[in-house]
Amino acid sequence: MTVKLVKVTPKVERYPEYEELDWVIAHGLGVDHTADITSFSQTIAQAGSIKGIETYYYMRYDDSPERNYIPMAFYTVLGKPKVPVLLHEEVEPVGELFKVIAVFSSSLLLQKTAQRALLFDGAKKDAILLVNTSITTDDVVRLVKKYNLAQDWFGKVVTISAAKIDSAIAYPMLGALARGWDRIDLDSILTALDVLGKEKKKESVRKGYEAASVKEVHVLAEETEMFKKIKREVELPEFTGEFWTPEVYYAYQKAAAEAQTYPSRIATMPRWEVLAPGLIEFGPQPGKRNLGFTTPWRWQRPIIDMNKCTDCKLCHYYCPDGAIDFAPIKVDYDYCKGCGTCEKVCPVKAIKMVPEIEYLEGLRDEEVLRRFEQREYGF
Amino acid sequence: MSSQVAFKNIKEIPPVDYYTSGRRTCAGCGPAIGYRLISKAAGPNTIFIGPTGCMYVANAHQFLTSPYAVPWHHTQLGGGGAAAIGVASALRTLMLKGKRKLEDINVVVMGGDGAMADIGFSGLSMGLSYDYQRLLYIIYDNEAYMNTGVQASSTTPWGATTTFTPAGKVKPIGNTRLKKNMALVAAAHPKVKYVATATLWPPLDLMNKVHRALNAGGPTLIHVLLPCPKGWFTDPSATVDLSRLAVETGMWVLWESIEGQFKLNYKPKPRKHVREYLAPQGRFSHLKDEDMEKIDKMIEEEWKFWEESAKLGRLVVPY
Repeated sequence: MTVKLVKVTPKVERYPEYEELDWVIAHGLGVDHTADITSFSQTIAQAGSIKGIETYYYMRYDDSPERNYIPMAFYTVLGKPKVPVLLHEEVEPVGELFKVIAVFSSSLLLQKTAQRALLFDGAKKDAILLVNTSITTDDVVRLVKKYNLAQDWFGKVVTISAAKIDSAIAYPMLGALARGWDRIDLDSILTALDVLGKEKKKESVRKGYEAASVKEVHVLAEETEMFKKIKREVELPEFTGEFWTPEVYYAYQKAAAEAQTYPSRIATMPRWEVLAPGLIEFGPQPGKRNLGFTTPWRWQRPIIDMNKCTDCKLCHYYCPDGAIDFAPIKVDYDYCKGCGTCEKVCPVKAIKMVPEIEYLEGLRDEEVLRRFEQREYGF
Repeated sequence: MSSQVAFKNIKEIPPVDYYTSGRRTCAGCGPAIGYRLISKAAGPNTIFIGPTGCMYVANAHQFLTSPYAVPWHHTQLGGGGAAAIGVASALRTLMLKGKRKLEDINVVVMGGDGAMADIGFSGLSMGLSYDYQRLLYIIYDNEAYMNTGVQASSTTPWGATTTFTPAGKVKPIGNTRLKKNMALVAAAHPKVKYVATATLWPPLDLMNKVHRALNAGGPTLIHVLLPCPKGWFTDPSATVDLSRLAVETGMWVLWESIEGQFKLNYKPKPRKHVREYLAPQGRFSHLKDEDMEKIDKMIEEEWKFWEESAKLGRLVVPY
């Protein structure tokens, strides 16, 4: 049975009350960056309240703060003076919300976000992009134009090699933020650290302020590669009033997987009249993979040297994501999360993990490599 | 009851996964590896019951993203045991009444330590007292409530730091309760046909045990230790290594009880010091040398009973 598809244009429902506020969204890798991003957001909120601005910060469970290596997001909201933050609700990345986009690992510049959206979905036109990386500001702009920007951007990009200064990368990044953004200045951050009892970290903040590189950016939407790539419409199955069939289910899944921006992903969600008769989840056919969740989320990727490979199948056996085909041995990069298990279990050392930014763009990012050396585990 | 080895070689395992890729589990997730292998061994004629836990939330809680290629059914945290009896009973009744084709359908409950050893304990115990064939309870034991943010459960080992048992100045040890041995509890049920413990290492051990359990002709239980990089505070690539070290240090004993006949599957010779297993884990990083010696001594004592059990061919309770 074939399913008739109809074209749907995504509607963007904006929130003018939210857009009056300044939002800071911080992107990182789940578990690894959770503690850092919490300190980052907490300090900004504290600094804001010292200046008399009403602030709050939160993380959403749905944005994967608690899954290793999975992109996560953390939100801080700053009200305007005399305009209190009354909307204690969650926000979706649509319209012009985010004033600051803080990225804790450069691998996130190449991927979709926790909400399977573009990094700049929901960003203000004069957004500040703050990245923890050793690559240049020009490279950051180039990567963003290629992977994550499809709108006008007349803001700033700030880079800081944070782990070089302090293994708690939140503090050098706070310094860099103060350098790029006048709303939260260096003094209020230092005072906030006093209030929070983290006087020892003041030096890291100052060093981050000094070491940050700032560059003004002027990009028109038409200049970006992503703008040419994204589809303006999504194709959904026509509603016939009948019960769910596998074909209809898989068509919805395919549309959701192919949606590139947040509004188009939301547009692929079935409407109420489609869901009204009830819902069956069909799941993938045996031997196929789950189409509905294909976002490649990783900071490193396994490369198999087929000359060394003895076809022992141990990597297939132990892959936590089932991302390695049984025969022939081949990694499906749509599903690999880059954990490195295959590298460890390979008896002939035929698998090597390569940082994603090095593999895709040929860039060597010291901050990504430092993760190996400085990683600390525990509370 | 067959004790045959179904999977002799990794090259001959079924290539198809019934728990497929495309989900929100952690990078390096131990339970996800376990789930894959269990679903491979159980095959296509399987119904999975999933009490709440990581293996529910990270897999199926978002719409249009189900990774299951076989039927799967969510139950409440405490409902895994009872829901499985319901499914098995319904299938048997339909087949007896001739309303359904006679065939072997596996009912596998994939419950975590919280859903099986703590909250769903009574349902599990009740399930083990029935006589449904091809009813298998799996406890995927990552030694705490990892999904909600690492809270201690009754299978958390001595000395581990969790958010409920943080190690600090007043209580320097962390968790001071001893780990509950669920396989021993299950073996105490008179009707249970097969009880085993397993982990990811050695390869094929888990898959063969699942195959044996499903063919045992009664309710069965496998207690599987599956490392959790998030809650154990380890590198995501260390999952399989930790499984191996757990066995080689004697912290995790691989045994099976086939209709009361005890069989020790692996005896580490010589047994490695528990330090090798504990040191890479952040949750034990506060332990001092004497604490590790204490754990090593505890394991040493425990092993005397395991060896005695192996000699006698029946279980001797080691505590």
